Amino acid sequence: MPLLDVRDLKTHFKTDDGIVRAVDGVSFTVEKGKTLAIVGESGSGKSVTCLTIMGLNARANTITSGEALFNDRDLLKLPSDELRKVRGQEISMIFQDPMTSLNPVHSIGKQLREAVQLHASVGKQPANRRAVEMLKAVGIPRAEQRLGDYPHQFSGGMRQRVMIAMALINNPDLLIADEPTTALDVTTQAQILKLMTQLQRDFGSAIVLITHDLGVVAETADDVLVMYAAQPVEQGGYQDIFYRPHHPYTWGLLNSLPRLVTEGTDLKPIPGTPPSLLRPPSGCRFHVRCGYTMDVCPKVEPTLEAVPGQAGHSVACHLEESVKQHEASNLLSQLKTGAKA
Amino acid sequence: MFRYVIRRVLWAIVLMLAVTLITYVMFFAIPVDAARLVAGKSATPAEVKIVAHRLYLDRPIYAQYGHFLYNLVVNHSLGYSYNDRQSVNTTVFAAAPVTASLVFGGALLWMVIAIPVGVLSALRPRSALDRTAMVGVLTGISAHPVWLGYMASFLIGYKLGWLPIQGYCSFSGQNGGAFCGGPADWFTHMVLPWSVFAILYAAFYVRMIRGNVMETMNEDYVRTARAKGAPESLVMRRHVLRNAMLPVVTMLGMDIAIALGGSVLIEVVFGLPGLGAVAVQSVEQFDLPKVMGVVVFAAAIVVIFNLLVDILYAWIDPRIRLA
Amino acid sequence: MKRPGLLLTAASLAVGGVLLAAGCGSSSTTNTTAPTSNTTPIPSGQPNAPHNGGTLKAVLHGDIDYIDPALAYYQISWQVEYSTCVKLLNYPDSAGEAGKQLLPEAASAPPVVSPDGLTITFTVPPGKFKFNTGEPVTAKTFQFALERNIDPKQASIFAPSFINPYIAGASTYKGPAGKVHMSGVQVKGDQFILHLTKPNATIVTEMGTPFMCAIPLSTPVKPAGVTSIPGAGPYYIASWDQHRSLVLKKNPNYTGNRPQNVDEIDFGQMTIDQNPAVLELKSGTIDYCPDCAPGAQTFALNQQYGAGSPSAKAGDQRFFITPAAIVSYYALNTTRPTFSNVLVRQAFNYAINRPALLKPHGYGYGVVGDKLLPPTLPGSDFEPSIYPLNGPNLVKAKALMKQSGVTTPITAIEYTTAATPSVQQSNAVLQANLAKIGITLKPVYLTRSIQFQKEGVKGVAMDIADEGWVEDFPDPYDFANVLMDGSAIPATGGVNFAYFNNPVINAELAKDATLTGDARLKAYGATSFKIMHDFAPWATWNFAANLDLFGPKVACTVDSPAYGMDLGTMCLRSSG
Repeated sequence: MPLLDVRDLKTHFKTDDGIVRAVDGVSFTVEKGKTLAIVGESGSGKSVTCLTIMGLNARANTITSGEALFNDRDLLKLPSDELRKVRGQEISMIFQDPMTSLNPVHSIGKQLREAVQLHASVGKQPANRRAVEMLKAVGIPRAEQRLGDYPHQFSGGMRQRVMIAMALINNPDLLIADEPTTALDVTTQAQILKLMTQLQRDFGSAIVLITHDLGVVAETADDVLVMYAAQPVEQGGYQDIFYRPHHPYTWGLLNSLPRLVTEGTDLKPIPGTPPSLLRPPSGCRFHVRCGYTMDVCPKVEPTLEAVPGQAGHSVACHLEESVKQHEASNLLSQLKTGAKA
Repeated sequence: MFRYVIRRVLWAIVLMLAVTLITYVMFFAIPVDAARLVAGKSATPAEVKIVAHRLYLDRPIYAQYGHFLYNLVVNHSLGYSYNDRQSVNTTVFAAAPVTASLVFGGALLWMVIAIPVGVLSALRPRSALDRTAMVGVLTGISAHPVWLGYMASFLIGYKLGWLPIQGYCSFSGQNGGAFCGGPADWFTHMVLPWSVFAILYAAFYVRMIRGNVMETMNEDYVRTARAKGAPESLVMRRHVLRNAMLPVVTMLGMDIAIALGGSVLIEVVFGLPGLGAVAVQSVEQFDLPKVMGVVVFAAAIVVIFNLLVDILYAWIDPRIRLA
Repeated sequence: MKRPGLLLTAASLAVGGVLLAAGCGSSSTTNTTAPTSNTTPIPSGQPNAPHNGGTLKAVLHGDIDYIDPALAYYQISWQVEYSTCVKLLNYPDSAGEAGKQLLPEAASAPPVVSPDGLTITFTVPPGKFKFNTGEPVTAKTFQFALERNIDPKQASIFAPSFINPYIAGASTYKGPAGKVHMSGVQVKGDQFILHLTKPNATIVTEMGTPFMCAIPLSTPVKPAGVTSIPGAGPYYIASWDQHRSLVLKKNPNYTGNRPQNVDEIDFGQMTIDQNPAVLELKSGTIDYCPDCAPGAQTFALNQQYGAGSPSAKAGDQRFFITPAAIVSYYALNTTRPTFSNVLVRQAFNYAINRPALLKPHGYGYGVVGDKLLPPTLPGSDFEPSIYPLNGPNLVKAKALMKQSGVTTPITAIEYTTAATPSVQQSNAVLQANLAKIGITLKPVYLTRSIQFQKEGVKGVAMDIADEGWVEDFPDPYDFANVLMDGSAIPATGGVNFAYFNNPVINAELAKDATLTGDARLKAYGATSFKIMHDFAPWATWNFAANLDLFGPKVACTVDSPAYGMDLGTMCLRSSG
């Protein structure tokens, strides 16, 4: 049984201009101790998906439907107080910008302690000990002395380590990491990712990693969900997405990965911009940016269907299977050339 | 922190010097023969000369200013009024409690109104409460204190007869005769002035608190707190309000300080013999020592409050401490 | 020289407290719904009936300047002193003519003046009056009060100018009061004797001003003024909290026959805004205010509570507009080319529209006038009116201008008071009036005290002074000699704003001052007429009034012509 089983999740926001379908029918599962990466451009609905599961969307003017089963409970139907107990205890979350995600007016010791004491009636001293333990675990030197320090006294990478320590302080079953490295410089990114994988091993938490960067996915994910315009377009194991990608959007993402040395080959960004979720394009939402558009694409919305012969791999695209396979292998060989060079 | 305070104090002293100097110079631009005012119109030129000498008025302006500073620093004296001949210290310290009664009571009242209304409006934007509050804010901001004061006097004091129409009654009730019997009378006399004061300021503060809270609620660290599983009340208290109140504290400090320097209009409308009323009268009477007294006192209050606010700010906002 | 006196224009009234000042005033009659003066017990028992006792609650829009008799000079301060002071001579607590008679109080009889007019003797029976502390009032009491007034260390602003010049030894007196005596002030047994350097009848009147209030012999000489002082009058000052409150209580040792109707008179608030004060008076939370009626409300207040109102007909008149001895005038600077020609000054008097000048100041501000002496002042009846009161006489004015031979247009610089709309409106009227006879008015708006001071500097570049004068004591000397004597105009601080200096008039004024009785009043009336008719150094346009407002509980009032509403005669209705 999966740790988290999300079925047909929809999150719609009512605005003055109409209904924004921020998440429009997303299903996925996360197994215990595994990492699921949700990939997509900004505004594709990946963050909202997670915030919905956490119950952190602003309550007013939000319509949610579907199910999010976690340890046998549907998080979407849990009373807010029950859900509160789940947050920070069973599911934790870390955010993109460590510079703004810590409260500037409280010492990090106080903020770590708060995370402990919200879920267990322990005194200040045990809570502090736990905080120090975690700070050491995430590699913060002189952890005891630094408890009294304030966020502005830490660098960005250090703050993200503090955030991770705070997220894992109660040994959660699931850690949702929303673009945890985006705001950091490249070397720090690598350190943080390494830390996360290491901690996942040590703590045994499952991770939902939200990112727009397939490079990050490659280093960490077991499973991948590719989202486009509030909907999943392709879903599968790490191998499926990287070696047998079936959706033109996934191809685009792979193609836009920076490669180290590829002389003569430029970065190939996906043309166009993500569509408005207020009035999404008809049929396949990607058709306006797709290089393979057919007559059917604007008319019929493709459904997520299993790729024949590949268990756990599914895709929502009208292209013929043979075309998909052909294009995928072409792309792959290009990428490999790049990688070798 | 220590160096920070020292720097602030030095700056405060410079500020005080500047304010007193400017007031002095301004007064000397006005062609009033203070010695004659004091000596009386019937005085002979010789008598005027004696008075001028006694008051240091026959010295050059810098010497007079120096004398004023010397008296202030060494004797802690603001001098003597040209008009009623009383020690300015006495006048200022008699007026200060009146203004303080008005300002602190008013500030308390307006914060008691503004914090819940501002926070609730922020929590439920566009709700009936929010919209009502915004109408109230607009009215409060647009209303003139004198108009509000007269209306309050007329409706609540005169038509309904619930509260005194105007006037001040000292807390001790001393010398008040039949008007004034101590704390209860002090309180009833202050209710209308406090309310008018509060309406005027609460408007600004509701708006400011609403804005700050709404802004703060969108901060990432608030989301972090929720993600940690903090209940909503704790999120508001520990993570939203404290941050949202930072700018409010600064404003409050400044507003109280400025109001302490004299809330002229409200004091005049309600007949409160506070610093503002003293200032107005002494300006009209060209009573330089009294004007200087109020100016020095008000400037000192502003400077001291600034300092307190800075220190308080540093205490609640750790980012300032190292700056 | 001498005498400050004061201004009093709409401005100073409006500003309240500030400069309002000055002697006192008002006179004439009016009102009283119940007992006039005296000690006749007030009937009591019935609800709403006047009764003795109780506390009268009063407020001031203005302020009390001092309670020290050597320094106090605001009208209200003198009003208070009228109730707390015993003087050698005093005015009775009566309205009308009776209230203008200076009668012996602490003195047993009117003073005896020696044939040469240089020695004036008062007999003061010791202990006829006592202070609330028990100390008796004696001849020495008045010797000390006078010495203290003149002691330079006391720095009395006004007292010396009333008394100083005539008393032997006063100009060189150095004090200390009570220890060193001046040659001109002598005490022999119960006799208080003044020796003068030249005859002057006015000094007897001046002995009746509040500067000569009986004060205890232990009163310190204090330039800032004492802040508490016992009183020997019907009331004494129980407490004074400067700019805040003044409490008067019945003097338990009072042996005189002046009224003491209420037990206590509390001025609970000072320097308060007029509008809320009117509400308090209407609602009855306050009983009395002498200066709370705002110009904009006087008409309505008079309709509701004034003479002839339904309220007054029901025996409850609460608003009193009482003509006072206050004159408002344009002083025309006789020493500058613009108005050096008497015909131009007379033309000015014919050209101005007096009712239109008065109108902006609000209902009840005063009555139009053209004379030197206010109608309520003794002697005024002997000064006939000359110039048109109901509007300009342009034919006459233009004829005078033509006759003067002055080439028009000419420009006149007017010093006037800033910051009050009513003064500005009056000036607009004046400007229009004068334009018709070829005079271009250039008003210079100044703050009141600066205006007063600048106008008093000899040689000032000013053609018209927009001025006023309030009576210090009910005698024409206070107007005619003080404002029109040109024999000794000081370099600064003068009050003869027309800089009018005519040797014949100067001599006549000096002679008038030595007279007494009806002869004195007739002489002053004639001299005043001559000044205004032959020389027209002023254009008088208004005689102002006092506007007193009472609450519903006040049952009796007496308006003293000398000091305004008489506090001691006020009584309250029994609440029933």
